[in-house]
Amino acid sequence: MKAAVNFIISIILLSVLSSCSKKEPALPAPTVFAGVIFDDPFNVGPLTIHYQGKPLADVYPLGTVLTILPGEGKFEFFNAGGVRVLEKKLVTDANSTRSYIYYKPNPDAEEVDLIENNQLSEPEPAIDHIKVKIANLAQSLFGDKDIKVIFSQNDIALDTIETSGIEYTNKYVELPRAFKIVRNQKRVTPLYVLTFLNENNQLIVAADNTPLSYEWRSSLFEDINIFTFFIREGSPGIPDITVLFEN
Amino acid sequence: MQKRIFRIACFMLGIVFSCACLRAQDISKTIQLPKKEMTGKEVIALVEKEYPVQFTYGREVGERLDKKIRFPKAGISIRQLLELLQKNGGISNTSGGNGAIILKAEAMTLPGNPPPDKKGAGKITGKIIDEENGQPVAGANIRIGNKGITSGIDGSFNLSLPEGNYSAAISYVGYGTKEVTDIVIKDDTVFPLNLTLKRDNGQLAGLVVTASAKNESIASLYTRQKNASTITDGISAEQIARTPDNNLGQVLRRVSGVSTIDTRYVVVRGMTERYNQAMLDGVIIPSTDMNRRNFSFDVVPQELVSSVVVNKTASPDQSAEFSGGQILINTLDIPTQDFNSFTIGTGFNSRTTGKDFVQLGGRGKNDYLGFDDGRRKTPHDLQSWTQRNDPLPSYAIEQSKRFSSEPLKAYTYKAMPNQNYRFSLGRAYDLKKGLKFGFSGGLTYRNTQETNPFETIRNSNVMEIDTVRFKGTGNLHKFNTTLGGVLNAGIQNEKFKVALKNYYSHVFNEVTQNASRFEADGDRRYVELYTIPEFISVYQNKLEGENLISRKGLKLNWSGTLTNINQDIKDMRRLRYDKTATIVGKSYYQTPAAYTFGDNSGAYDYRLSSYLKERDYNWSVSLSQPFDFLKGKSIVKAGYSGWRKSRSLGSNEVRIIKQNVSEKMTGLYEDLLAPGRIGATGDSAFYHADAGRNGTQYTGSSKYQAVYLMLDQRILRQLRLVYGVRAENFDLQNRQDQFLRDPDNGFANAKVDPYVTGEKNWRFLPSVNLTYSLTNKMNFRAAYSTTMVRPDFRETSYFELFDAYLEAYISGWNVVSTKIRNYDLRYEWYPSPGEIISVSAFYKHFDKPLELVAQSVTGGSGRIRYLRFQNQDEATNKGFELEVRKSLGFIADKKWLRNLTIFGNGTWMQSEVKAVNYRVITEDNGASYKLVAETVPGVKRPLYGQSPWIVNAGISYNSKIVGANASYNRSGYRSYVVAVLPSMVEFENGRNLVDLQLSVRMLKQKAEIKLNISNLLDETTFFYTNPTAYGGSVPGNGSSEPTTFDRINGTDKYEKDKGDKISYRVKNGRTVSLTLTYKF
Repeated sequence: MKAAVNFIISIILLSVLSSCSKKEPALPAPTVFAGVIFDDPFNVGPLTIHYQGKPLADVYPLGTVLTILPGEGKFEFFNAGGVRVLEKKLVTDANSTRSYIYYKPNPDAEEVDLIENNQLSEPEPAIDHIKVKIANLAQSLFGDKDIKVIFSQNDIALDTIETSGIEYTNKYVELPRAFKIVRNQKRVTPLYVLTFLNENNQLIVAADNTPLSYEWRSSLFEDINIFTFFIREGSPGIPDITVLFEN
Repeated sequence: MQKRIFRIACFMLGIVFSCACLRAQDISKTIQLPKKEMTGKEVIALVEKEYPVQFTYGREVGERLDKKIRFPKAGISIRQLLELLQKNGGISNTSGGNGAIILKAEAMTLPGNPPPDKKGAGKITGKIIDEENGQPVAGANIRIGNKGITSGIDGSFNLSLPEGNYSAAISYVGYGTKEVTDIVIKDDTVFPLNLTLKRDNGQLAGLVVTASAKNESIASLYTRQKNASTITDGISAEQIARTPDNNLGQVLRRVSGVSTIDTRYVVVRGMTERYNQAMLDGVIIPSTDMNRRNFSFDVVPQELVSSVVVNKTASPDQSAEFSGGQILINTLDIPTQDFNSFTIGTGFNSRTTGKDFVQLGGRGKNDYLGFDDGRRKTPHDLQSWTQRNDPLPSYAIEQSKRFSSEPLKAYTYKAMPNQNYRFSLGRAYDLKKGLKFGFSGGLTYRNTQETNPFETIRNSNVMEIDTVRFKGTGNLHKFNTTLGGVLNAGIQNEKFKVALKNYYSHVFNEVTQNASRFEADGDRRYVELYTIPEFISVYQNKLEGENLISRKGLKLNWSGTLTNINQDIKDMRRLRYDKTATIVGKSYYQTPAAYTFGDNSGAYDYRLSSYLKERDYNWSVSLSQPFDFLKGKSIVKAGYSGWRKSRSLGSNEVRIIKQNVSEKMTGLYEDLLAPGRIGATGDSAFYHADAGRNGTQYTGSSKYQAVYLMLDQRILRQLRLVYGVRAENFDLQNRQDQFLRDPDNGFANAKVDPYVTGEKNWRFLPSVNLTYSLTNKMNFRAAYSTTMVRPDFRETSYFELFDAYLEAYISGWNVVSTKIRNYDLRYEWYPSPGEIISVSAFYKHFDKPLELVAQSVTGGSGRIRYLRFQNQDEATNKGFELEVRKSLGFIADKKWLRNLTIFGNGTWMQSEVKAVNYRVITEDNGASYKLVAETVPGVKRPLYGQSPWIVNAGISYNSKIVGANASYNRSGYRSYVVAVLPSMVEFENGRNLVDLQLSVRMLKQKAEIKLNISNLLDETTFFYTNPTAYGGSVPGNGSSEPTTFDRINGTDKYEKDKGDKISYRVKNGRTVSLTLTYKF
């Protein structure tokens, strides 16, 4: 009897004392994430992505932010046949997003590489200017030589940009942006004409012996004014300008 | 020689106590005894041989007569002999008439014990009733030891005695004599003795029935029951004291045909709480639940319960608001003995104690006391608005900053053992001129923590609960603190009685869900956290009286009651987090599911506080007059009773709104909604106080008055007819203030919903109860009654409130009373005191039964279930019931077998409801709207909550020292959520419930330790749907009319091979509790 009473009283005392029992957060402290975007403007994929040795997500549509943990992470990319076409370590910062596109250095090989969109940190151009950067991937179209690209607006040459192999130009080139005032409203002129000079600074001509040219229309929004171009061969003999990144 | 002495002794007995068979001259004779030492029984045998007398005595006297008596000499006078018997044997005597001599045990001072202390005399008190009709026997002689008394007008008696063991002899003209043994009188205590007397009916006078005091008390209850005007079952205070039960909820399960769920919900004859009525001291007990009718029965200390009676048929003088059963809990006012009792107890649950226990917002300092420490307080003076395409009002952000975000943080504790304490006391005082005063009271405290792990696919729009991708899993954490208090006092004499009864209960109940859920819409998995903290207080004060107006028995009964109820929900919170990412196999849920204004599917995360106040006045007065009719005593009774109730409910609900659609929020709510971060731009959110959900929701008043006339007629002793009529006027007006502010409440028929719900009408409710006594131990009963179950404020309110168990929002509607015609037949046999075997059959017809029906809501996507009370067309319940409570003493005359009792009851029932589909049709080219109710042909299902069968069975052992009890409960499936569409009806499958109880009494029975193991099997409770049971089309909606359904696959019961799908599984765990009670 005495033992039973002592037992009950002990349990009760334990219960009473427990009213100030230790508490811990039920949900884990918020994790700091980083983001990564993979896009495929050249239709290299589809590719499956593994991050730190495991599939990154159930669903990862191209062009959307994939959430990862900040710091260095190992990324592996597999093509539809299950062949690993790229392994790369990428470093991301907390609460920031890095953006890449798939790119095949050799169109005939399976290997894939990434091109990073690093223009997000590029300072804004001066008012009524844009910034451009170019890589020439249409080497065969231009005889595998470094070329120069002339940007013109309203038949006025704005600037000439020199390419170097398939690499990007070293820095962004700032070009003026033409505009008109219509009914007191500023209207941007989006059309640029691109012509090309060969290594001897002569205009590159098409099959009909006229200068090879390409019309490119920039965004009408004045706040989108930094562009990265890829020059590729569109239809045979005709260059195609792909805007990889714009912001 | 000895023979002669005893013969003389017998003669002297006869003279002294008017024993007519002995002649005066025999007194002087000397009896020669054959030896100097003889047992009393040997002497009695000598006397009975010589003289025409017969001695009768009980077990205790018999034991004393077994002892040898040493006689001083061979020849002794009878007078000397009797003195010797009385002095050494403690045996007194009295005449039973016609030569019968009753020997009685007197209080004895045992060798070595101190002599009785005259200062601390004990008491015996009780009531004598007629075994045949249950009426009090006034003027009966009660003789105990050398003292005697006559019973009062109500059959009660009261006698002071020195400490000792006694037998009592009770006799009265026209009745047999009864000897009651095992009366233990102790100093400063009162021994309760309720007993029955049987009419002699021409049998040989002098027949003495012997019974123990305990059995007599039990028998008196069953005598009252056998002679009750209606079909009843019950349990007495003495029986309650003998059970190993911890609280009144457990006790109720011992009453035939009654089941309790979680000690809160009562099921009688398989019928759910809505069709049962619980009354405390004659007043309907307010519900301790916001959404359903229930009552925490464990709030009333069981030491203060004088009896529990369950009426299964109605009589005109009782409230007629039930169909299954009316549970009458009567508390003590003037106790039969002074008492103090203290109980402490603890217990653990196998799925809870020592494991993680989540509470949103953390545990308050006063949670263990049942009160909020202020952490759940939210602003009540918010400016609300209806958001359209306009900009946000200027005050929206600022008033959002008044909310603390700390309550949005979830904490984990370790669940602690349950604890409960109970203290009760009673005192009775004898005043001058037969006036008695007494009071009794008690306090209870209980804290329980319970975790129920569950699996679910409810509201997910998927069917396979065993598919890992779809299955939702989580825990319901239930923290409950209950405080209760009862304080009663009464004063009475032979002509009047006045009692004041006060009751208080306070319940703090917080249910927190922490779960991982899936939703097919969007193929989305999310974490859901919600908590519902409810604080419910009930105060009740009742003054009641009974007056004997005339010597012919005209009696006046009256009462007045004031009840105050407060029900507050303090900061109910619902928070969800979508998956932010799965990284290296680990999922992160840190994207709050805050929506923009455009999402009106009811999926908002929100915080809700509501405050309910109700004040009730109840009153009653009745007059009864007994009269003789055809050789039987009959009673005519007329009465008037009524109530007036007023209730209002207000609420403050704020929804968490994210204004910027494109910006993704990441983090936890407690950070995002911190006052410093609240906003309407970027990755911030704020609170929207919607006009329809803030302010007074409804204001209701309910008036009820009833008059009745009842005749209780006994015809030729064997036939009893109780009949009469009750006329009720009911007026419920519930003003829907919410509806005025937001008439478009989301339901399709909102266009026809009235602003004020309720009804006003007169109803005449006839009833007749016929009892035919086949023998003294057998009755045949037949009864008919019309009863009305009235809608309450909740059932007539449009206010939606989330229910954690149903996982649905519940709201009321413009519903009306259910009229029920009840037909009952019963054969009952009372083999011996405390035993019953009965078979009953019943048929019930419900006109406009009420059901909680799932609604189709436009705009939702299955994420939320909406249930609404609505009237159906009609329903029938028919079935039969078997009840057994029998001691096993009939097998062999062994004490342990006599202490062993088997009990059980089973109800088998067929129920069918004719359900209707409500829809709104347009008239006059859309100028007006009309509500139509159309029967959906082809659907056959039972009334909401009805189970086709329910079985309770058990065995109990009760001795002076040890008590043990094993009980089993199982019921068939029952509908849990009903809907017009058969595939949406959700059933609860029955499960096997086994409870064990053990008790040991010690320290001269002052202390008792009870061990309870409940839900020993810990079976899973599961819920299911029959999605392929019926073929047919979706019922009518808008302009289309409902089509016919055909049952094509299986029945309502769970049939896995017929495509039935489990929607929810939950485990409750085993609970082991240990309780110590000490009485002093």
